[in-house]
Amino acid sequence: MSAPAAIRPRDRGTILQALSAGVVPRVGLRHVQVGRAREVAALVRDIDRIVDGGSAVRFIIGEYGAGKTFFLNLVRLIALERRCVTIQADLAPDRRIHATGGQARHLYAEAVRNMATRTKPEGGALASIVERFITDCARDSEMRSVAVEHVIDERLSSLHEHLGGHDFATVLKTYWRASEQEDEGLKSAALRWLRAEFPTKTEARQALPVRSIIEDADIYDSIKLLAAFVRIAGYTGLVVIFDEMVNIYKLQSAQARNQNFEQILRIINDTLQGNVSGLGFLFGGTPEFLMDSRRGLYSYQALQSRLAENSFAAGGLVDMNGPVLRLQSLTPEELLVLLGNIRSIFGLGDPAANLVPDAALGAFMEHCSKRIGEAYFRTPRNTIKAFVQLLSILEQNPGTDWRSLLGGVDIARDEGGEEEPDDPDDELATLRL
Amino acid sequence: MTSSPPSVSEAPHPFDRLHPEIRRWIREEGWDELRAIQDQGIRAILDDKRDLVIAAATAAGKTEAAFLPLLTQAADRTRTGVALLYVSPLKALINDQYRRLAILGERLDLPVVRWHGDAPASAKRAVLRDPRGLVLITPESIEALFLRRTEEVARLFGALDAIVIDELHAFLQGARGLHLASLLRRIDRLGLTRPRRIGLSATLGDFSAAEAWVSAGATHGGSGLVMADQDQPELKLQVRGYIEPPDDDGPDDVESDGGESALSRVADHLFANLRGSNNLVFAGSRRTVEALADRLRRRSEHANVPEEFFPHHGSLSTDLRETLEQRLKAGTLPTTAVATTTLELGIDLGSVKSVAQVGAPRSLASLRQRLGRSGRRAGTPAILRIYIREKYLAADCDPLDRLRLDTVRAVAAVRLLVAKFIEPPAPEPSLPTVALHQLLSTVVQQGGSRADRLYRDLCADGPFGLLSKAEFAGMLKAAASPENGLLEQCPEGLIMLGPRGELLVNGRDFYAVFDSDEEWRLITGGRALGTIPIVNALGIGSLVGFAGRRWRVVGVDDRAKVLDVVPHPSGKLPKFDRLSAEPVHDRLAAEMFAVLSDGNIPRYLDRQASALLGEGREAFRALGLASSRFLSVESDVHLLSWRGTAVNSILAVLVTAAGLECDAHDVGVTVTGASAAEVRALLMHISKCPPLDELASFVKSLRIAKFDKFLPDALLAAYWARRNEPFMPLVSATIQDLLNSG
Repeated sequence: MSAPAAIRPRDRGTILQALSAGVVPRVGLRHVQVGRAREVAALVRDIDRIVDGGSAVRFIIGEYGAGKTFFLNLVRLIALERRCVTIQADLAPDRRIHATGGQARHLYAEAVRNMATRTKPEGGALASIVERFITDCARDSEMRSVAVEHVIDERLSSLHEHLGGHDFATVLKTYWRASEQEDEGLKSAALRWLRAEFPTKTEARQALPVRSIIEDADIYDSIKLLAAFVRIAGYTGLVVIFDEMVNIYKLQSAQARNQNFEQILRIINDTLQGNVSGLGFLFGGTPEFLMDSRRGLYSYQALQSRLAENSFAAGGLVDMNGPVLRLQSLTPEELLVLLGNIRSIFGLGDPAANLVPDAALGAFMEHCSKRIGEAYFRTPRNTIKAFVQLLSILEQNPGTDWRSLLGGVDIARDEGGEEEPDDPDDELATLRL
Repeated sequence: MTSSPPSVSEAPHPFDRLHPEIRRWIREEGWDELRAIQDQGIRAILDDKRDLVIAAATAAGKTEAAFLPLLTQAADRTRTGVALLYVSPLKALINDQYRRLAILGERLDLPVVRWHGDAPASAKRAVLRDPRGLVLITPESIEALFLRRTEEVARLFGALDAIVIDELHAFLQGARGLHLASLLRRIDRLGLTRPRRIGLSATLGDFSAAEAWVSAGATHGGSGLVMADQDQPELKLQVRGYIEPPDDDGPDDVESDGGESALSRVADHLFANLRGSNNLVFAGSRRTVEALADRLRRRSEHANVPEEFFPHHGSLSTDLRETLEQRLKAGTLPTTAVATTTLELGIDLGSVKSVAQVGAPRSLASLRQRLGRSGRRAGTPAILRIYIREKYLAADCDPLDRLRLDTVRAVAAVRLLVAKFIEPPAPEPSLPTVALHQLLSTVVQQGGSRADRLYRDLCADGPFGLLSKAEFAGMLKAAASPENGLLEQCPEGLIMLGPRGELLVNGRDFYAVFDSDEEWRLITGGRALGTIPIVNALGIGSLVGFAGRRWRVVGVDDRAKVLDVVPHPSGKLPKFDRLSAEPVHDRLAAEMFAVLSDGNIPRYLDRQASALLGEGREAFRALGLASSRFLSVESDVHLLSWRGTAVNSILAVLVTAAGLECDAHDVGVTVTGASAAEVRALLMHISKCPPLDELASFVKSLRIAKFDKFLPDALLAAYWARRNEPFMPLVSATIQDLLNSG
């Protein structure tokens, strides 16, 4: 993908701000994206399968800063284009796939808060999806002159086959009733229930005509219900994105890790066997999350056999059909294109407005490789960050020569999101055990 | 309730500053007035934001002195999170305080929650859901919260107003005190501000250590001190001497018929004098406690009187211990508890008439603590009986035995008791073990951590500052070695638990920093009696003496480690873990020399004890020990330093390092297989001490605490040297004294 000409000035600021902070912008990814054409194509096939009522699961594995989050967001935008609904959350110490202390519920709640559709790509789409469903039902009831309640029951009847489907349907119907009565409190209670924000059954029972809540143990079943519901509501499927899976690797208890792996195994089995429809999972993680034989996915025997990579895919050959997709490093050529794209964003796609000539891109890369070493190029995050900062200086200080600035560009080692050590000279800061 | 007239006083009376509900409660309780310590406590807490030590005897009202003003403040609080944390070394004490504080809590609409291993779970769940009010907890349960409820602990304890530490004097020394110090620093870091700390302490001599402990990590310099006026009760004291029969030199066991062991005669005396009132008997080891309790029970049975002597020690089931404590507290039936150190601390046992001690005291701090258990009522004297058992002197006995050192130590201890001497806290030998324990726990709490962050939290900004960066790095490396496997590191440097670390941390016995070995559980008729160490080889038909009774084993569950027992007429005492003897302080050893040197026979000695003291002084003169410090016995030489355990241990290491075999005893060291002249020559040679780090390799066992097996030799040696550094001038002086003596 080369940088398309049309860059909205509004997006420009957002993109550059995100890139200079080393995070992935939520908009305008296509202006930045380079390479990885085969990987993107594989994921597009996955999404097509989901849209056709199938299922998919992918583990996106790459080093810190390799562009996992960028890639996941790109796939998310493609899914939204295909009229899927996406939900997305980063795992954290208090958000994981299996737990007993509310951490799984937190993950689910966070993901549903980030629920996105094409018209609401930035998240918070749950209410509009439910509204759309209700409006559809109302329109249908008018056309067929039957009661709205009857249409809702009819459409949601398939949910009852799922675990927990009864209460799920009841809550949706309560939402409709609340909107009939213009009871905003009840409406928001229903949405809170769907987002798993009720901490106890007692509180839920006081607010809604249900006896259960979405708890730690129910989050996968609730995701399946959501998938079924968004198809009923007229979307093509549900794509679930869980990033920062390395947090499971970092759990300090073997039992807790294994329980999370068990849940992942359930998801893999269901999706690969086609037990679910219109549902896809994307997990982003570092190589140790996958490969570490003591704490990673491979430590769980059943997962290792399912996820082991194609043994013929070696020496540059790749297999894009397995569940594990490794993000290869960007080649220097791709990196050059990437820098060109960033330059274009600064100039809003107008070649005449370029802040630096083509020669500067090569010089920047050469400078990086000479001063910092080739190893740090493999992860684009810091390279991009430094380049954006360089261009910012040039933009704000017209007349400055880029050549004089290059001597001062410095790229930090990618610490993988860890806090910086207090004192880099300290023997403990760099201690290797 | 009296309060000062409203108009005249410039500052309101402390009573009037309390919450109205608390004032109402005080009136309903029928208190005549607030005690002086409570007046002062209320002022100090409401006027000042600093940390505070409140010192008074047990049952002097110091709990109220702290909690009346703290609850007054907590009642108006709007922040979510638990407001007050109360930490106590004993579950029983928590249950006791709970009964008192729950009533006040209810009136102020503040939940009061007990949090320890045996406390009800429903209240814990409720406070987790809606964290507020007051939580009463043990150090081990704080540890368990950090490990098992890592995500919730900040919500629970992140906005505390104050932490109240009960029995503070018990935490000034020992691994557990260090453990608690570390846990409190970790709690400090959960929120934005450090909660103030209020320590409740017994009245000790020197409070600087207590104040320093409490104000660790304080940003606002130091802590205040509120102390009760010490109206010393009259002390009635007797030291009684007993001589073992010639053939008796084994460890204490249950009484055999016709036996005339010294312990049986001690039991006779206790039975005759303690029956009919509430008393505490401190007998030292669990084995002696069992042996004595068995004897006292038999005497009750033979005399056909109700049983009123019961054992109390750490291996007994909670049920048995609590039943006994409740019985003592209720005071309706006369009761005497025969205890190890377990009853030194803790719950208010009501009015105890007398305290007895079997064996000469080794520590003044604990003697004073024990004595404080008696004579609480105004006008009643404190009564202390010390029972000394000395060996039968055979013709070929060691001359040291002739000095009757136990009797001498008892007299010396009483002299120091009168002089109000209390040992200052010494550097803690288990510091490296506790540091490793807290390292592992912090790694779990932080979900993996970095070396520099760990050093900052535990050492630079925590209680383990005695460890240098290099030593801490050595500890991390040893923990991460393949054979230890406690830690591992992920590629970008995050330090996480290794395979063995996970196993260790997930075990229930990880919460405590003290050792808890595998044990048999004794059950009779479905009721738990307690536990005994697994080293006791027991099978069906084995006889056991336990909980003051005798049992026969009728069922063994090897997997669950359960022994089913039924009562039986004879028994045999099991082996319990040997406790290392409490160290003797320099001052006590020096006082012993003084006791032997002068001729005064105190009136509190009974006839036998007087005779024993006389014998000891006689031997002291005969052996010329007033001037000589060398005592040759066959091929051995006793070097009498008249110094405490710390100096003697270093001296023993020095002599060992110089090439002679050597052991420390209470008043010096014994060099085996050498003549006095040889030893003198050697001492001249070592009068200039070699560096301590080099000496450490001659210490017999550097690994003394629970996790020391995971620590590198270099660290343990360096820490041994650092902890003994302050004693080196004394050691040099001691060597000079030895050389100068005749």
